[in-house]
Amino acid sequence: MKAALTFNNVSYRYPDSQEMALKGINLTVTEGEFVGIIGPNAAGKSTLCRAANGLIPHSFSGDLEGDIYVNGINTKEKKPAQLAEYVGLVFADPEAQLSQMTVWEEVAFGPANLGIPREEIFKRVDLMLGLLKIEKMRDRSPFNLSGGEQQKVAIASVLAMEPRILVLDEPTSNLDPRGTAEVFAAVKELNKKQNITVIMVEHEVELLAEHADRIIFMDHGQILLDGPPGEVFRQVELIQKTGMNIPQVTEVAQILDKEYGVWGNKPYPVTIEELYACLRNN
Amino acid sequence: MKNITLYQPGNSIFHYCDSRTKLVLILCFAVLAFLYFNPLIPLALMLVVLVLNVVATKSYALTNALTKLFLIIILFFLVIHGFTNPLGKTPAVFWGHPLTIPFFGTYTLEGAYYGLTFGFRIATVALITLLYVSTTHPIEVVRGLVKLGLPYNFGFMILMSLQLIPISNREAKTIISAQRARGLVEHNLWEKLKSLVPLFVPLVVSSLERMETMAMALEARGFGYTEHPTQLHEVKFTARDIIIIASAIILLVIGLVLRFKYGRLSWIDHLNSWGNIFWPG
Repeated sequence: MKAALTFNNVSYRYPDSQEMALKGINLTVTEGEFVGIIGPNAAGKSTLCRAANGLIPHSFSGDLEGDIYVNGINTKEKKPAQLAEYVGLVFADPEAQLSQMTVWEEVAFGPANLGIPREEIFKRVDLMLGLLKIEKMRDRSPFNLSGGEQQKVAIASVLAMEPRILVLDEPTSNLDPRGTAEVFAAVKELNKKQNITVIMVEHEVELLAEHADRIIFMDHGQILLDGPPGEVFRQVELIQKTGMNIPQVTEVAQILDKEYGVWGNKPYPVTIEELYACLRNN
Repeated sequence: MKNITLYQPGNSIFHYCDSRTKLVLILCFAVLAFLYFNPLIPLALMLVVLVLNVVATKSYALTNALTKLFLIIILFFLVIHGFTNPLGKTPAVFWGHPLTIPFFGTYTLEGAYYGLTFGFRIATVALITLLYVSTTHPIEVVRGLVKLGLPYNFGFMILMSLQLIPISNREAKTIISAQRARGLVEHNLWEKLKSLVPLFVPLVVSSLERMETMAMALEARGFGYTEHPTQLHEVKFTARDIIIIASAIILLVIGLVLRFKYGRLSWIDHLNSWGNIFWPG
């Protein structure tokens, strides 16, 4: 398996801050993985995202130690605009990422910036609009769409540059449950069908547990837990101590485990289907 | 979303022609309007431009604030110049009497001639510009200007700010509502003005925050990767554009030839009645 993104002992401090935002992060994400990152506020999740596409150190000053490799390229050597071909970054505020007059132009904006020939851009935009199921809105202004639709436009516009890695920084925090479900479904499909590596920072642990292959739990700039959802969410006390939630299914599983000792050393179930399957087998 | 530009969608010939064609049109009409010193030719040009406006945007051409404003400005010029213009020497006759205002002097025919000339000239230029902005989508305006040499980044900035106005507007409304909910009461103009001060800080802070995300999002999408990003829309002159430009230039050339052959066509020195202003007597 090829590594898509590698953090090599990365530490970072923002220029106006005393505390380190990232402390000795070592992380390797392999191609095609769906990684969910959870953690309380100021855990360093957004900083990790910004470091992944070179915004840190190019647009933020401050002290960066260690190296970050995207597809084998050291991010110190290329600007974010150049890294955009490899890593796409989607932000929390859907509206602040959009800038064009129509959805079509919005999606075409990225590849046009890369100087890709027109015919190729036309093809890519049609493909992306289809992939995210937003063809019907192609001539509408992105500012007149719902939050979920806007976020899908933002994702499509990032993907039109054909990055192999998609980093999403709390993409659903401004969305209603329906918009959230839409974004998750779209990202999941991209991950499975296009084999795009996904790194997603989220507070929606239920949905993340359901979709992600791997969960990373961060606090105070460090990675505390890293593994499949069932194993990470087993560490209920550690996670709940920081004020974070774990999936309700996992909470139920924990209670059952304490009372009856059903799971032993096996990972906890994280979705209703898994819990149901487990209970049936026992 | 409230329309913040003067653009009126439509499908007239002016909507379909290149924005640069319309700039040529503006230039030709502006030169023609200032070529001669009499009210007749600028009036004719103004009427032609008004007709073009009506063709392009129908009733909007006559009902919009700018057209009205410039019709008022012509009247304003007519009155002010009539009383104050230093060229004035022949008193105008109103039902058998000259009209005099203390401190200003007598209303003169030369003043009226001068005022009308300038009023029509300015209205011509204003209305041909209105034709440009009301038939050209802001994005086309910027594209045309970029083609003419405006830096791409600068054009992008203009478009971006156009997008931001409605968002900031909405944000300001939210902040004002929040402050009213916490007991902000504005009884009079002074209190309304004072209430703008607490509005200012949160609005600036939230705008700056959005700017930060926006800057990151633009970089994440390759803005600034090359000096020459792909032009998504081909801006091309068509036969339509060439016909419009050619006729405008022919008109301009005829105007210039006449100007050099016959002079400014001014009859301000031979005024003796109202009718004289529009036709040499």
